[in-house]
This record gives sequence, structure tokens and C-alpha cells, in this order.
Amino acid sequence: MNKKKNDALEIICQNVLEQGRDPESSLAEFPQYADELRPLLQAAIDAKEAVPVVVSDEIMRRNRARLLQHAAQMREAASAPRQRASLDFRRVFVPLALALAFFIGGTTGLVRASTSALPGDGLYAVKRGWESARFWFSDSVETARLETIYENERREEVQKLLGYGRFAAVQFEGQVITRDGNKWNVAGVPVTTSADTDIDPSIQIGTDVIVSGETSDDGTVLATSIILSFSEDILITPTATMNESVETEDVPNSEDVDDPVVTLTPEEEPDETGDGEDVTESESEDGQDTVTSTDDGEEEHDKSDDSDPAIVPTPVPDDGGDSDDGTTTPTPASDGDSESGEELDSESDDD
Amino acid sequence: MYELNRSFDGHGQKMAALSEAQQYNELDGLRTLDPQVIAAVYDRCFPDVYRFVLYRLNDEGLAEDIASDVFVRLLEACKKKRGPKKNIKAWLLSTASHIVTDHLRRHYRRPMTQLPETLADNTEALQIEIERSDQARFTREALQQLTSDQQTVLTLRFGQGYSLEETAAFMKKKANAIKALQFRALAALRRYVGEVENE
Repeated sequence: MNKKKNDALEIICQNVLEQGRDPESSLAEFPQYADELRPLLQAAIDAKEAVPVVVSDEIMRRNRARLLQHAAQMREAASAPRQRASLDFRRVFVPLALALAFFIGGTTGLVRASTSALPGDGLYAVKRGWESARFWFSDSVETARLETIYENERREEVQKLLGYGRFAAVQFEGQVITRDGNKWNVAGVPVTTSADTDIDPSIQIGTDVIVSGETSDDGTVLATSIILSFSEDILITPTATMNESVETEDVPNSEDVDDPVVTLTPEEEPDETGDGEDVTESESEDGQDTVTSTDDGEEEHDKSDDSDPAIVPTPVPDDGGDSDDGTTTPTPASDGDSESGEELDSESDDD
Repeated sequence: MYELNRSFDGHGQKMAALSEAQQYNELDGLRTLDPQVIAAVYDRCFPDVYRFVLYRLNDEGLAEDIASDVFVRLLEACKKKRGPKKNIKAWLLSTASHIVTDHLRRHYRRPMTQLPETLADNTEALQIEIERSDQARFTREALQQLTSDQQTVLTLRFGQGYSLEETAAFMKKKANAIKALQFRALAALRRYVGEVENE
């Protein structure tokens, strides 16, 4: 009897919710259960309408950018060891040679004179060399501070070049503020793209990017490439003087990133094998769930357990609980049958 | 074995199921952190994961954070070669389910979201919208009173639009057990909605 009622409810729900049929005419097909199933059908309709179907574009866009940024950081972290060798070489020998030259020549005045140099100036190489030398003498904290200073310096250099109407190859980092066709604004710097510009397809408004290109006479930077910036700590190096790989030594790994997403159970990973279950769940003939044991053997639940059923969840295994095919292992809490309708179901599942 | 590859796009439209070859290509792309593959998986699965969590927790901000976290975990699991072996969607929902359960365990009962008491404009359309909004709120609050399995079955059946067989596969139960569970869940929901409305 109850099985027939369950079947009737399922058919009515399908008719109304999936096929859009009239509720009353669907209920009329099962006159013997209509009065009992009518409120349940209404509950099903309410349940369907409880959550908006449409996820806003803003939510989609925001979290897509967040995810792609995280992926970029993971890629960068994975490639960091390979880049580090060349990085160390540059950090050790280039600044050392420059520092030695400055020391021997007594040319600290030259360094001071170079501080206002812009890309394309004769002294710009001295300026950048001195910056590199400062990195060599800095610990990690100071390095991070200097990198931030020099990122701002690169953008200021670009703004000055644009203000002077000068042409030079530049590279700078910043956040995409606006993007309208081929007109971009990156950290306050107007950027123009062309059909030849290499643009990372995952870039969104708000994404940190590295722009490479040339200042042009229309007051914008004509970009040759716009790629994702993988870290706040990246040292930007103008292409005018530095052809080495982008600085990556202090790129945080994925765990260190100041990620706004919540991490409620950082150690929890779904278990592909499902072996990690510390709770076993059995299902009785009438479809009710019965928690029969836990790994620690502490408790044994059945459907009569009416203590806050939704949050009696059995400990989630540290390694997750999904199966080979990724399907979930449901949390074996009581489903509150004792409260909700013990008279409603006692049918076998298998008939 | 039923697969949970049929999805809804961001506007609730059903999307075609992926072929097995496409799934394996996606898994390869995830392991290599291919941004195009990541974006494709995200676009296909995020709405379902978000709605799943929102349905369970009735908190939009938290649902967004958890859904986002689920995808971060997917990337990290794939990188460690511990990710899904074939069914990405089921892995994501399973992970979301674990996080939700863990969250509920930590926070016991969440405070209910409050809507503004009154709005100045009392046009008929607005009244209807408020009533609809109230009903949705009552239902979401009542959903929080259900057991985890009851919540899951209603979330999958009515929140996600999964079929009986898909839901049974996901919850590792028989179809008849899902019918019975669904019956009890709707009866309990009906009762709790009445209680919430009378509060």
C-alpha cells in the first residue's frame, strides 16, 4: 500500500514538476491518495521554488576569476623550481658584477642620477641594475617590500613615458579595471590591444595581469601580450633591459595564498575508493537508513533517533567518502521517520 | 550505473551529458591545470554545486564560498592525482556534501536570515513577490530541520532536478528507497513549513 503511495507521489511529482501538468488533474489519476498526496505535492513545489534556478552572472564571473587565479598560482608554483636556477644565477652574478663595478668606480653618484631614468634612457640599465643589487642584499621581507615598490615604479615610469609622448618597450603589472573592446585600463594605465596581442583568455575584470608592449603616441600602451600575473610578489621587469624570466622566487604555494574562499575542512578530501568510511550504513527493507556502527564503535542509531536529525551527521572521514566513480556516501543521519510519518512507509524496496 | 553528468547551465537549462571521451579529456585538462578546461568545467558544474549548497545551508554568501572552495579542492586533488577518476560532477557534489555536513556539525544551527519587516511600496506585484519570497524563506528554513538524507534527496530531486535513478545512484540507495525517503522528506517538510509559518 505504502509502496503504491510512494509510486503515486513520484508519478505526480514528475507530471507536475517536470512536465508542467496541472496538479489537480495529476492528483485525480490517483483518487484514493489524492487528499493525502496533495499537501506533499505542494511541499515538492515549494521545495523546487525554494532556491533560485538562475545563478547570477556576477557570482559566476567572480568565482571563475577566483578559480582561474588559483589555478594560475598552482601552475606558477609548480614551475618555480625550474625557474629558480636561472633566477639564482641572475641574483648572484649580475648584481655582484654591478656592485663590484660601482664600488671600484666610486660611481654611487651615477646610481643617484639614474633614479629618474625611464625605459630607453642610457642610465636606465644602471637604475635596474642597482635595483637588482638591492635584492641581492635583502632578506625575504625586504625583498617583498622592494618588489612592491618597484612594481609601482614600473607603472609610474609608464605613466611618465605616456605623459612625455615617448616611445619605449615596457612591462608592468596591475589589475584590470576596465575592458571595452580593445581599450583596457590596467591599474590606471590605458592599454590598447590589437589582433596580434597575445591575451590570456581567462582574464576578467579584476584579474591581476602583466602587460608587455610599447608606449604609443596616442597616450596608451600598445600591448603585445597581456597574461595572468601569478603572484603579488612578482617582480616586473621592463623588456627594455631585462630579458630574463619573471621573478618567481617568492611565489606562494597554493596553501599560502590569501584565498578568500572558506576552508572548512582543509584535510578533508573525498576518497576515491570510499575506503575511508568510518561509518557504515545499512538500509532496511523499507528504505530507511540505519546507522549500525562507527569505526570507534561509539554509537548505534536507528530511525527512532529524533535528536536534531539534520546535524547528527556521522563523522566525515578524513579522506572524504566518495566512491570510485565519485558518487557520494550519504551522511548516515536519521531521517527522522519517527517524527514524520511512521505510518507512511513500511514498504519493501525490492518489490 | 547512472551518471550525474547532465547539468543545468547558469540559467537552469538542461545541458547535454558529456561523452566518456569528453570526461577523460576534461580530467586530463584538470590535471595539467589547463585554464580552458578549468573554465569549461566550472561553467558546467558551478551552478549545480552552488545551488546544492545554497539549498542545504540557506546562506548565499556561505554557499558561494563553499562552492568556490569545492572547485579549488578539485584542482588540488587532481594535482595530487587524488581527484575524480571519471565523474567530475559527482565528485564535486560529494565534496560539497561533506563540507556542508561538516559545517552543520560545527555550527549546529545556523541563525535564520531575516528579511526586512516592511517595504514602503505596496504595489500588488511587490506583494506577490514578497509572499513568494516569504514562502521560499519558510521552505528553506524548514529544510534545515530535516535530516541530512532528507535534505539531500530533496536537494537532488527538486533543487537540482535529478531523476529518481540519478538520485539513487548518488546516494547509493535503491530507487524504491529513494521514493520512500522522498515521501517522508516531503511529509516532514510540509509539517515544518507549517511550524515555521506559525512562529
